[in-house]
Amino acid sequence: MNRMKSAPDNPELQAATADERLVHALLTHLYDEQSAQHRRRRVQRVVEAIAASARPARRVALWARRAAYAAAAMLLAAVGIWVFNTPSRAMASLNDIIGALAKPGDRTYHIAMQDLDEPPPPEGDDRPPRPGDGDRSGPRIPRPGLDDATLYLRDGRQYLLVRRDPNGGVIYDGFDGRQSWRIRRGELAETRQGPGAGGIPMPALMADVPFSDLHQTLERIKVNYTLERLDETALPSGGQLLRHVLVRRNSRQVKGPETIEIWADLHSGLPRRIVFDRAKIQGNIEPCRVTLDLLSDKPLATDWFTPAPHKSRP
Amino acid sequence: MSGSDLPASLAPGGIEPLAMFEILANENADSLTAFLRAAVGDAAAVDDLFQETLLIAWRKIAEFDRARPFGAWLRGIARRLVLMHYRKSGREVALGDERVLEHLDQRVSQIEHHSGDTLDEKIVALKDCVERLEPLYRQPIELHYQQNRTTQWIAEHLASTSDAVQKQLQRARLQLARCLERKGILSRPE
Repeated sequence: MNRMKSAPDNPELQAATADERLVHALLTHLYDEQSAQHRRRRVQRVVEAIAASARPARRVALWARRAAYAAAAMLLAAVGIWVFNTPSRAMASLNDIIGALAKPGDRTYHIAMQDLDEPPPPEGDDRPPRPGDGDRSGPRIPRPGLDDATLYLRDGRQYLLVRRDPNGGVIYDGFDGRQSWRIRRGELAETRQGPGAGGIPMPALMADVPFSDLHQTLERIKVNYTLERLDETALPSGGQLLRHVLVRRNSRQVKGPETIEIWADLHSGLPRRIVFDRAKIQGNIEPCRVTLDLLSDKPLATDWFTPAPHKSRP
Repeated sequence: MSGSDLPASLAPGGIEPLAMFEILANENADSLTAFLRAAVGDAAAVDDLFQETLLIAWRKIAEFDRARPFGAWLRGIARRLVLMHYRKSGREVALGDERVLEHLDQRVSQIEHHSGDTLDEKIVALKDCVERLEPLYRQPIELHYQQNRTTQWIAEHLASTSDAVQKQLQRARLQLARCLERKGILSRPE
């Protein structure tokens, strides 16, 4: 800002200096591997401070309490939270599902990814074109995708994603609760502190959360999606009755799949199948359908989420 | 104002407004930080202003205009705090500073509108811009930002002076800004 003050009447110079400072900020962000964790901690600290300061508020004057209620109502309305339009039973179902994923235990999911053709935008869609929207004819670079991948989760905090490498072999991306790591061609290719999901193609809804953080992802559903169906039904392939939830995103401005469909255990709430439909995946030009099917909830080896047991595998 | 203080009609289904606020804050934290870093520079001040912005946002949430993006509203609060920060620190606030902050706000808004779900995705092209820099500029940028080296260290390593390295970094960042314009992430000046 100092340099800007030297030329207060020169808007061009001011703009150039501001741009230069902005690039400094962006570079700092781009190359700071700790930034995501740091950011979460900072937000968390503020939220904790707010929560702590709110505790004595139970004794505050009536006017203050009314102001607080009004503020909360405004926030809820502003973010378009779907619970206003949603029966409490639906919310309870979703909360059960979220709660089930956070419970201690191991779960193994199979992931299937199916490319879909992009439909023409609906009439009246004034969404500005995104760069690359009109450029879908380029050659595809073989990238490790999600199709036929296996996702192992532990306690909602550790994960291991195993997928085929189109160039041969298998890629293991894991997070053991402290560091994330990747094994490629049987060798430890990289490690980094924190649950970074670098290089893993992710549905947009999950882009800034660890890949396997389904818990966080489903929390987001509450905010940006509207309930369309809630019933008890078996999977299309048959089997036992399951809790079935279908939500649709509130607008095209919302980053995320068009619909999310969940079949969960009637009693435990554990998702048996989650379908992200019309999801945009990093590195995938076409929208796609990502289906997660529960394979098992049996305990895995203690060190399953560390690199050691996977290193020797080709 | 915790969710537990709210009547059921305002916090249905167990969702707390504070939890909602946390989600929104997390979604906009990176762009807010970028804005503050660009405006203030000093890391400790950025941290303080970031937290203060969120605290004020929570207190004033009733004033939030739902027609506006949450991130832009946060930056509006941050802009006032940045100006106060300069006044408090005894540094003269030139008339231009408000215009500069307005410009920065617009720039961050342009980035927010770019495709991608996270700030990293929206500015991923910046890495390509760095790679396209001439070695004279790319080297100090890589040493400073990727390897976290000080300008003094870079100067010694490149047999240069700290001032010269600072100048190189400044010119490199300007070139990168123009590169972001060419790539459509920042709009070109009219």
